[in-house]
Amino acid sequence: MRRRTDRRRGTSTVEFVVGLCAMMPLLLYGLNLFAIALAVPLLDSVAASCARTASNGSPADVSDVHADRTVLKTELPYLRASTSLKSAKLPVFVAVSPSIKMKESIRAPLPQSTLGGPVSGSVTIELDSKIKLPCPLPFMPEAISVQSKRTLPYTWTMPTQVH
Amino acid sequence: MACEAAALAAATDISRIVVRDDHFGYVALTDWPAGSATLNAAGEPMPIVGINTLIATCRESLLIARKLHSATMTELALADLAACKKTAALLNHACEESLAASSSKRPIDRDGAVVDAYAEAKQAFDAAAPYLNEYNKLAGLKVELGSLDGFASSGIALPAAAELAEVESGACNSGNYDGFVNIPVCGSDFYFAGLAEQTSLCSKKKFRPLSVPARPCSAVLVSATISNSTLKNSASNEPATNQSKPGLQVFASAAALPGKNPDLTNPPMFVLSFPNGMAEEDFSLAKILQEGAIHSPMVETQRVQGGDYPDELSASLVRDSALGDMSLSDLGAKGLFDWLRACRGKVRMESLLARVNEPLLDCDKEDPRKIFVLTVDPTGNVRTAAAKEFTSETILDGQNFAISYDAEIGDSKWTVSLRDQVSNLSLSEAKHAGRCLVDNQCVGLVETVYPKDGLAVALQFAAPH
Repeated sequence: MRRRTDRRRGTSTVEFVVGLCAMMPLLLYGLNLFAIALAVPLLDSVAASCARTASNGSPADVSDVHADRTVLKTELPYLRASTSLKSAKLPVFVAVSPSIKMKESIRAPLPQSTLGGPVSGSVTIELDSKIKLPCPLPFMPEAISVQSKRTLPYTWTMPTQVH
Repeated sequence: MACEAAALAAATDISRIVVRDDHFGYVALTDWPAGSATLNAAGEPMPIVGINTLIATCRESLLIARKLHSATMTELALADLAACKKTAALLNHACEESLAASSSKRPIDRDGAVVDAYAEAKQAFDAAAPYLNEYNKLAGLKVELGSLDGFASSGIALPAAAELAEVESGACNSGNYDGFVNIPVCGSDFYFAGLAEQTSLCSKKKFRPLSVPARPCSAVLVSATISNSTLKNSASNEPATNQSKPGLQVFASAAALPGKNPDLTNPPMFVLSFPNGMAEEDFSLAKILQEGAIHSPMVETQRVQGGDYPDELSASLVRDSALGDMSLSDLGAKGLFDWLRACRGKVRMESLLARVNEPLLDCDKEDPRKIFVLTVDPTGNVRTAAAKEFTSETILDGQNFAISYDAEIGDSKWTVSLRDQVSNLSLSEAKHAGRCLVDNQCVGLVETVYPKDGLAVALQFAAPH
């Protein structure tokens, strides 16, 4: 009687281990997909936050109309956006490249240097990020590259110098 | 996110709109310096006044009128309030024209450029929505003007402590009037537009569409419908066409408030002059405003037409039938009211009330000529400076002049004249439209605080007999 019970228990253990071996890759794939699904919206919101910060202040150049001008690292919109990027809180398996791709477009009418006025234009932020998958598996890369892009209009008004 | 971009773009754009008002000149949602298209008939640049600045000035004038028990000032403030409501309706209409998907009459900005806020919003939406393609299409984009049911600042500071300014604690924040709420005075309703420090997003749940045209509105709501036709057309692997029914519709919306600009205009001067010496030892502005304190026959008010008087030969003084005959106290009240209006709400109430009631004192006892210049310092306090000479006698086109030869003060009769350069702000009726006369010949100011100051109102007591 006792021998029969032990044999049944042993069979269950074997079944469990075999089942686990079969299910484990699926579980790990699922975990990786969950991590990606979690990280992508987060990266989007970081890009949005950077774009909002960049669009809140003065553009890089308001002296002339231009389209898709690359904003340099030393220019104010870039500095504002990088401050926002530094303060972003992301999961440990997500790495954002500190180098931001930023472009701005300025349309007419341009604000005049003495009279001031609003700026018609937009700023576009592109963030290159890597999501390091928490569970490395065959047939899956170790990390996935994600690009988040946001465009927002400038909401800055050049202050007037005249009374 | 695309809706938010569109709302921000639309809100920024409507703050550029400038309307030409019959009563107040060039008006916008917020204050702006003059542009190339905002000139008066003399070709001088005219600063643009924000609707909130107008309403705040009118409210302050009404409060001061009550404190001074001046029926004339009250009447003038109520007339300005009625004009403010018409201006707000005009501005709302202009904003709606700009936000409409199609309009035949788009408003313009201070440089004469057409303000198409809808196109700006659409452009911003398209730029911020990279997912729009042949399958995901923008089925509809609607931009509405309205107000917010909740906290929004007007960006206008209270003219005095909340108690004196008759503002309840729930209607002001950080020393500023709240926007979109009623802050009444003497049974008259005052609504301000909501303006942010900088164009910013606000709660779309609190957005209320424009319902009362006479209340200034500044909030913008963008509603977008995106139609996804992938499922519908996936079988045939063809892109969606206009005729095909949408498979799935996604709705999104966002609201934004425009930013405010500071009013940087300099408050003009109110001049009280006694070229033949003081009429009385303890003479004060309150004495002029007090009905019956100075006995004088009714005075005919005149208006300049045909140019600046007497500089231009075509100019002449004619009876102002709208104002008719006024008592001397009414004239003083009108002068004070018009000066306050020209100061655009920058005067602190406590300071003004103190100045009105205290005697005019001059430190120069030897010189019989007394000229007192009332100015407003950057903190809003009214300061009295003494001047020795004020030479310009010009009365600007469309403005008022009145003179009484028999004003009884003490034992003498005095000639009292009022020169009001800011009585008429209309661009069509007054060449300078209330732009103050800048008198470079005004010399001897003890304190040259505002070298750019213009002369708004001059009240002179001369030639005692």
